Amino acid sequence: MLKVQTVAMILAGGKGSRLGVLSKNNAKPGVPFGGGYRIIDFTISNCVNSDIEHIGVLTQYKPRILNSHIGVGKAWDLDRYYAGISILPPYMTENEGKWYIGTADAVTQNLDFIDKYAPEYVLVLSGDHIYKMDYSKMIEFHKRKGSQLTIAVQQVPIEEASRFGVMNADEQYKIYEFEEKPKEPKSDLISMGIYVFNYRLLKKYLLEDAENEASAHDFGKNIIPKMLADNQDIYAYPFKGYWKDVGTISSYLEANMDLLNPDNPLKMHDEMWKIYSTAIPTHATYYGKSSHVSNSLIADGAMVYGTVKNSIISTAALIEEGAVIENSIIMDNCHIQKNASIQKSIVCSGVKIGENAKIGVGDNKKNILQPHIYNNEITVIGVDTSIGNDIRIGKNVMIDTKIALNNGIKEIDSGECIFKGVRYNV
Amino acid sequence: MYKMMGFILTGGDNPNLKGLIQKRSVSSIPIGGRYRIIDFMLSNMVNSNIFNVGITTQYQFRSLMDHIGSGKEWDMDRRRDGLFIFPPFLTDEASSNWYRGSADAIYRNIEYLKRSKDEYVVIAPDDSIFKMNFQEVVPYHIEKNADITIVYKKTQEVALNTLGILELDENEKVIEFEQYPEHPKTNLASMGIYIMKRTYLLHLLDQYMYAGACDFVSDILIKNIADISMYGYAFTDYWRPINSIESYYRCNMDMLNPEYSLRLFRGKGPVYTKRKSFSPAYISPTASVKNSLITQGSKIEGNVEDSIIFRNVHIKEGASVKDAIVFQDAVIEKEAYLKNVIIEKGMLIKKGHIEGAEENIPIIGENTQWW
Repeated sequence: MLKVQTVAMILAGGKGSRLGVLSKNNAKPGVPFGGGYRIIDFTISNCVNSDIEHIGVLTQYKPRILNSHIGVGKAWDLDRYYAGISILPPYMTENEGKWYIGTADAVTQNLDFIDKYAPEYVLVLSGDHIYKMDYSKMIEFHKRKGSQLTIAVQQVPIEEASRFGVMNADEQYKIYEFEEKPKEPKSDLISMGIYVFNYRLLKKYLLEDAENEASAHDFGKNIIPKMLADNQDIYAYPFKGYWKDVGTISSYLEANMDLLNPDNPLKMHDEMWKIYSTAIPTHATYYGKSSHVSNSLIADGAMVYGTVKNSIISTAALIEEGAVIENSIIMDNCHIQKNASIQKSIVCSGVKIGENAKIGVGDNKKNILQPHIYNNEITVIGVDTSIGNDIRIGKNVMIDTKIALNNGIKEIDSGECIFKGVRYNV
Repeated sequence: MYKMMGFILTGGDNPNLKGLIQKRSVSSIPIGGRYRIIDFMLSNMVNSNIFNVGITTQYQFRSLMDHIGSGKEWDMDRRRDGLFIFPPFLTDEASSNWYRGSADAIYRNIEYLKRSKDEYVVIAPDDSIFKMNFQEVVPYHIEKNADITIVYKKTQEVALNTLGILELDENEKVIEFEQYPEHPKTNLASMGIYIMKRTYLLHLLDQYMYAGACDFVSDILIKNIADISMYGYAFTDYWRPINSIESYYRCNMDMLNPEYSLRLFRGKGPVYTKRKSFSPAYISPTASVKNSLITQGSKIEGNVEDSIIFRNVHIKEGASVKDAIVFQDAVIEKEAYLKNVIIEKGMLIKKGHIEGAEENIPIIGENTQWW
């Protein structure tokens, strides 16, 4: 057996609370994306395409969908004996069961997993970013610099940098300061949350940090500042490609819509850097005689009889005749009935929209319950919800999962919410 | 649930399908946008809970082996049972080491049959498009106390003189079985699916192979129709054998009718096939797509009507594709006009007008001279 150079640890336990109902039953990395993917597919495929084949996935929040999606890693050819992908949930020990408290803690609790391979480097990744990146180049950079820790960074307009963790580095990209969400950023290099550690040193810091009761056991808050304070060699690795943290409903919709751009730098058709996913066995998509499809991505297994414009239609969706879908995401197994109209909405898996229903219409009013989550005129309908015939639903509306909306409701005005079975309106 | 095993007989060269089988066997001809013909039979097996399947093969089986692999996609990569591929092999005694017919192919792999612990065996062809649960035949088989149950289809849509035709009595017992009759007496076509006890198949082979039988149907079943108690089981859903370019083309076009395709693609379980990772299909603002099947990985910028587009096909702006079948990885350039044609895998069609007729569908492949 060859010596294992790098083990990747993918952080996939996050709740993604700003994704609202999209991540209600699903960890953020498990949220569907681009018609035929889940967000984590990008990170796992990047690993495989970078020849990193020893991968741990740290799960915690609602992992059911992620578990069955990743399985034994078949889709990525990771179902192997001496390599492969392991899902690492929190576990019981002799004395107690412990949730993962922070990102560093999640890795600390799985040092045994890493030790088994005794790698030179550990690559810590987030499972919820959309990007294509060759990690092997970053590791090369790390080696060349003689770095102890290398952090991938993106250059952003400096006025936006204050929303991120900012890396202050010299011209050799050596980091001398790290500031979390600074009011007045000194640099335009933001951390992408992608770290290459020398494993021996990482282990030392993790074990020390685990003893520190004051610590939040977080890479950004504790481990990296501590390493900086100790004057370890930390470098920033500049990454120039497309990268999106789909942390909000708006950025999620935007990243999806980016796929419709013919010059989209993600090049989803690129044979050399494929994004793999666990596909259900299904058939080619049927486009009926009455269908009008324009500037859209349509996954297999769908049946399209209506009009689809600037939208993403996922696996096994049924769009009936006369239905109009614009600037929206329709997830898998949705059923959009005759003459329904959907504008700028995210319609989650298994949703049924009744005949003549209108979604995403009317004035722009602020969401009454969670305007920080539901905004930008985007209406979101949760998994397995059913909207009855003729119902009008406005903008910035959120309808929870598994709601059956009918019984005399004619209209849900812009900005309303149906949350845990309760209607919130003015 | 009955314990059953399957034997899929492939390997026949079919001159009527010439053009599609220059580099592949009949069973691995692409169909319906993302399948190969054999996917339907393999999926029928899996959907009937049959996970012990032997495939005899002889003609151009590279593409078939490549497609099936370890049987992973059909959940047949198993420790117990699974998928077994039986190409012909050299022996000391036989004068010809190729399989001399279906019975010979089974007989030469009799060890596989003997080792199995399944009670029933389904013998099935590789070239038919239909969805069926074979489990449902067994109670009928038991009730009739049949030696062999033959699944048949009463049909108007299929050329009968290319099939085995059954004559049944009022109890559905087979009283006559004719292969490729010029003047068929009935329209009851054998679907080439034979269900019997495994021990009975061993008994048949034991009894008749020494006399030099080659073909299971003509040398064993038909010759000994008086001694073998055969019953017909009527299949009533969509069924098409693919035995000519015309029937192949029609079957594809049938899949544009949701009434058929939903039953074929989704009824009685999914159709499993080798999966590949492709992005969803992209339909551009310049495209027009009507009454067509389009598969993932494709990029459509031109006009597509009444056609079947396989994976990773690029149809450029201005191109027109009508009543056509375009295989994987083909590129149709902007000045091309295609009608009633089959475009082979990976072809680049630059420009020009290629038009066939429904009764004469040209196949544009590497070696076709059409310009």
